[in-house]
Amino acid sequence: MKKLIGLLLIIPFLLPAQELERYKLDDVDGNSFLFRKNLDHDANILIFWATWCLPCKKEFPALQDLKEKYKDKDIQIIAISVDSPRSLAKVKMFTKSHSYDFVYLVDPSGDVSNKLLVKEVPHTMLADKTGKVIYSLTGYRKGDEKQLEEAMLKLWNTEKKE
Amino acid sequence: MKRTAAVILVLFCVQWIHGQISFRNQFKFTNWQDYDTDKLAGPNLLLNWADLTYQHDWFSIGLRYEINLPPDPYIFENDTLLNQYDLTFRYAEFYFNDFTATIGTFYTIFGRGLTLRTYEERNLRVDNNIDGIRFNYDGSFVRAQVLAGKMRDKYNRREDTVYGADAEIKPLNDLTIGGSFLRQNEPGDQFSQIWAARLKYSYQWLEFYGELVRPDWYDAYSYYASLNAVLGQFAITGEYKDYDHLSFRNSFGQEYNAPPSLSREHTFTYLNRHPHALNLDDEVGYQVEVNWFPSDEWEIILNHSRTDMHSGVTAFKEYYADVHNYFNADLEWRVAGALTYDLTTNTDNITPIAEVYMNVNELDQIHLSFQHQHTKNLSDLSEYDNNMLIVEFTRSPWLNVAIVGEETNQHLLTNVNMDKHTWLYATATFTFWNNQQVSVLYGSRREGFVCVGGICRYEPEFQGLELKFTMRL
Repeated sequence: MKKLIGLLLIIPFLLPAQELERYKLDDVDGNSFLFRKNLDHDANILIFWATWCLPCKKEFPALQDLKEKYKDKDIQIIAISVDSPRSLAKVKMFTKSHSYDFVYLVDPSGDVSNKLLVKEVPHTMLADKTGKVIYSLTGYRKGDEKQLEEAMLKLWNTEKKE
Repeated sequence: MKRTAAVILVLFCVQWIHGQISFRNQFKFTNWQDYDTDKLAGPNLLLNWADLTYQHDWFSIGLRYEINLPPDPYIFENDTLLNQYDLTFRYAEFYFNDFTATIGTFYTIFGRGLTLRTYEERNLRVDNNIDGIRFNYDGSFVRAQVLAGKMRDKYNRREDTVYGADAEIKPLNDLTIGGSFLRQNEPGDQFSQIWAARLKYSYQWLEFYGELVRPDWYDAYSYYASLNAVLGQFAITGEYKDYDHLSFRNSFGQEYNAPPSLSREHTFTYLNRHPHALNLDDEVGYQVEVNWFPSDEWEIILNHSRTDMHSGVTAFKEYYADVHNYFNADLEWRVAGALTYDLTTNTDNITPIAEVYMNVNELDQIHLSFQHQHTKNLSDLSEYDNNMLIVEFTRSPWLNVAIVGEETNQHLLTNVNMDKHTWLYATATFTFWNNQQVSVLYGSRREGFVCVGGICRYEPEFQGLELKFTMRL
């Protein structure tokens, strides 16, 4: 019995996971975006980025291609800018001058990125409809989107079986 | 029966406990083969940050445990002030509809940071969190934040209690009006305080932001304004600042405010060699940036920033141009260049940069980058050149290998004493099993600045081995 209790108490520590439901951020127009109400998509891809980050800008077209490749699926891409006030003014300019089909949010205080322990950009996450993060990767190298795609297919297969 | 009840109870507890646990551990070990014995007591430095957060439906808790063994003397000049093992961040946060209450440490920002900005930038070793209490209301029409606490300095010391409030309303869909207040209690019933008002107007292709600040310790206003416009293929940003005796510090000299510096953030090493360090007490300046996207394959950036002191003396000036082209699906190139003047080092700098990315196949990529910098010292009119070459290979998703070489002819100057004029290091990063990363660096690296957000940290010349391991769960 003691062993069972010990095992059960250890389980949560063996199964760490991140969830997004609790969070709330502003979009680039200053409107609130409550994750809890906006995660009902086949897949939610989050990318933490900054206007000065060159690898981030390389990842954007790869994510857009991924979204277009699976047109039959409802993929939401949420790009969260962690730009400090120094570059914050450039965020909206970037979003309006590119035609990526993304939701653009800003986290200038770093509140959400800190809670999700995001310390470097780009940082990419894949979350399911409930907001549970099932994949994450720091940095971007050409081809990393293949891993993300695999994780997404795995998510859909799991949901199908359930 | 008792056993069943116990199992049910335990299962219930597990369900309750099993919220969302995030864990991140960042380890850095440095072995100096050649070091300044006046600065370093031994060849080894070990740093570690362990961050743990736990989130449940209506609350979250988190902590950060930091190890500095010993404290890096290039950052912590007075190393005995810093504990080698310390809990530097811990909080509990409670949520109720649109209300949030935080007890413990937290980061926050008022407006664009002219009155208050607390943040962590680990690369610069900045962590000025506030330890206290904060209440947030985040409604659709009104937002408000009140707080009280003590700010951390780099030695993890806290002095002087600060009280603050920030609120904003959205009277129209496109218009936001806000205000902030911050007050610091000082010994002998003294206090200092600062007030701010801000306005943001946003219309499809246009955005204006303005913030006006008035401290009580000096008879002057400070302000910041930005204007963005997107017109067809052009995106334009203009910013203006006037910071006059704006620095708001506690007894340890830790600044509460960190407004925009209005100089471009660069990722290229040489463009950070002569950076602009923000001076909140005496700066007037502007920044203009034009982004032009003639087609999907081309991106052209033109940027100019200038900062003067109120006396009219120029503190920083930069002209930057960047042309980026996707030549085809497997080849892209960039040519960039900057003319920079910096008062701190009193130098004029010309910095051309060229780089190319070649895709070998779907997963492999080669990156070549060349940076040159010609520097003219305006104090003694001496001139010298620096060159840097980076050769990088990446294989997604698990490998990154780079060789970085640098040389200078600065050692030929008669008034410069340099032991070394070439540097070479190799670095390899492995990513494995669910985003764990190990990085090894070996060789010699030239001194320079690491800069993020207008704040720079000096990195000394290094020769030896550096090992980094980042674990994420």
